[in-house]
Amino acid sequence: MTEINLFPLAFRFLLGGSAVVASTLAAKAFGGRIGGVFAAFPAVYLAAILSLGLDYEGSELLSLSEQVSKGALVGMVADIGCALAASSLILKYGWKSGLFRALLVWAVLAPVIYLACFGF
Amino acid sequence: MILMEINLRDLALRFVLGGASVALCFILLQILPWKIFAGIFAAFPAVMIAAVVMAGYFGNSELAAEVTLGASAGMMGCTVCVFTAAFCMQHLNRWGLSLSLALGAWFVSSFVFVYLMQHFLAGRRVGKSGRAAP
Repeated sequence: MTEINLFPLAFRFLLGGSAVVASTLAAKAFGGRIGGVFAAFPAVYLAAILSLGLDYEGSELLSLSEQVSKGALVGMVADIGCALAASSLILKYGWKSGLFRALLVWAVLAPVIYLACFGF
Repeated sequence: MILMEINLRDLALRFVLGGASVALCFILLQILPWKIFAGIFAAFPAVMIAAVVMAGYFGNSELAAEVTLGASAGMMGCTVCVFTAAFCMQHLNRWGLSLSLALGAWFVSSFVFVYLMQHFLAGRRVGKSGRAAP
């Protein structure tokens, strides 16, 4: 069974959390349209890719980053579906139930897109 | 003081969701043989969830729904970013350059998508207030 060390896991948690908080603070500092752009900074994706640079290098890093990016592309398309679904589901069912249903849409959509693009 | 509390709660929620997404992606990369599948969690909509929870909790469902429309514009920019990164890594074979180009593509495309969405939302608000007028 694969062993997962706690320190690298905690470091990635801190990196991901800090990246999201930093982009939020940048969005608030800039405000307006530039702020709106930074509010959707792909912080989680970049933190995930940059953290790969800690463990891998050369062609292995490139190959793994490419695969994670392809997976993230599937996730991003599912995100758009989830957000558009949420905009109507929240109005219909309220924000708690609407958000939960929209996340179910994401959980179904992402594997379906993955299977359609990459198969088993 | 209340505004400060709201911001701290907002930031704490974003921190936990963002950190959990990256940590989950790391765990899946270690245990799953399908690395592309693990990559899906690098795009988990953590920021949108936090924004909707804050808008719903401190505002109302209508505001939360509007937040998701704004988030969809940002996600389109992120999709362009990730597509550029995957494409450049495959064809240029240079990690740093690919990420730099992806960030450039993200900024330009996000600016366009956010501009278009803000115009759409402003038009919708005008339409609603027009209909509400006697």
